[in-house]
Amino acid sequence: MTQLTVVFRQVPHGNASGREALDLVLLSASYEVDTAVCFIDEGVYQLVKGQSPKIIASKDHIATFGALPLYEVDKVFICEESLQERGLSPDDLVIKAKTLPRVQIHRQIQQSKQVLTF
Amino acid sequence: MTTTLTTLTAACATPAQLAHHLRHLPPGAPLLLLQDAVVMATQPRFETILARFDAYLLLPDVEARGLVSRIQKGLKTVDYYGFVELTLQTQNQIAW
Amino acid sequence: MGLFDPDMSTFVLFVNGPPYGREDAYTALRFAEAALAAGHEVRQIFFYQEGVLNASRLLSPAADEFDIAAAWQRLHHQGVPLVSCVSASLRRGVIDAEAAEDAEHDSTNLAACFTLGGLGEFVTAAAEVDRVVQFG
Repeated sequence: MTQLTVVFRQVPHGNASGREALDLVLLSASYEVDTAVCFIDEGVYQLVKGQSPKIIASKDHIATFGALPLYEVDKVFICEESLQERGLSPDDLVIKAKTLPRVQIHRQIQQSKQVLTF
Repeated sequence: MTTTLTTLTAACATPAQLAHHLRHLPPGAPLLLLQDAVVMATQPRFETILARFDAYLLLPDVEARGLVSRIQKGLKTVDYYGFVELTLQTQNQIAW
Repeated sequence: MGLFDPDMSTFVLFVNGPPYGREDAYTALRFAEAALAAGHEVRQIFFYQEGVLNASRLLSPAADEFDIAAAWQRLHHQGVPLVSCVSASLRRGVIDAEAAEDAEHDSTNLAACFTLGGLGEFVTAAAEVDRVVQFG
């Protein structure tokens, strides 16, 4: 059973939720906590390629999503419908990860011992 | 089979928006409305969607907003002790 | 302490809302008080995102308004550790003596009943408790 699932639900840079969620994910994984990550609804925008956060003085945490495999975070799930609704495809994203139907994303969330949403 | 307590703190403008917001939630899922979200439980137009779930309201938030007499029939209210209990009756909580 | 109580549960609260302007921190406070009164243990309250502002020593509400700082202090005196994420705090201007020295600031503003801690403190505590509850 996954110990902690962190859910990214918001667009990046308008607030720091994505940056601070990612800090938590990596820290959690480095403490060898079984950590999963889900991107759903507006959260899929966290992963869009070609971002330039510096233009608006935002930290580029987007590049750090690439570190998830290095931290052995391999449960990374992207919501299929969330991509489709927004005209995005897996090719538009900075990481290669499993896309799942919304219902399965929520099943993953439900089965996690703890859940934090950002 | 684990149950998740879904907590809502914001009011949706329409029942359609609430239905959209909760479209993943299975029938009968435990749902706690608190803070501003409680206003939804005082409007007849939200009754149908809320009836799909095992919905609770945090009573102090309804009292604070002067809406106790408008709580729709069949909705359960809890205080903060009840909130604590709900988190223990379910396996995890998601702030949605 | 030491006696196993099957009805006692342990909690970590994760608070993202500020001390004033949003209700999340107040809800967390009331939840913590209720949990303690019901005989449960609140192992830690961890403050993240805008929640770190709760750790400021300088909160100054009007005399006839709710003093959340005093309420957090009461929880602290009941044995609940209040930990504000150090990096999130520094970015938002809540600093302790060590951080002030590093950043060459001439003052500090961390409330006495809070400590600045890394995310590791949250992760460690969360791994040990029955429930983590998020506010905001």
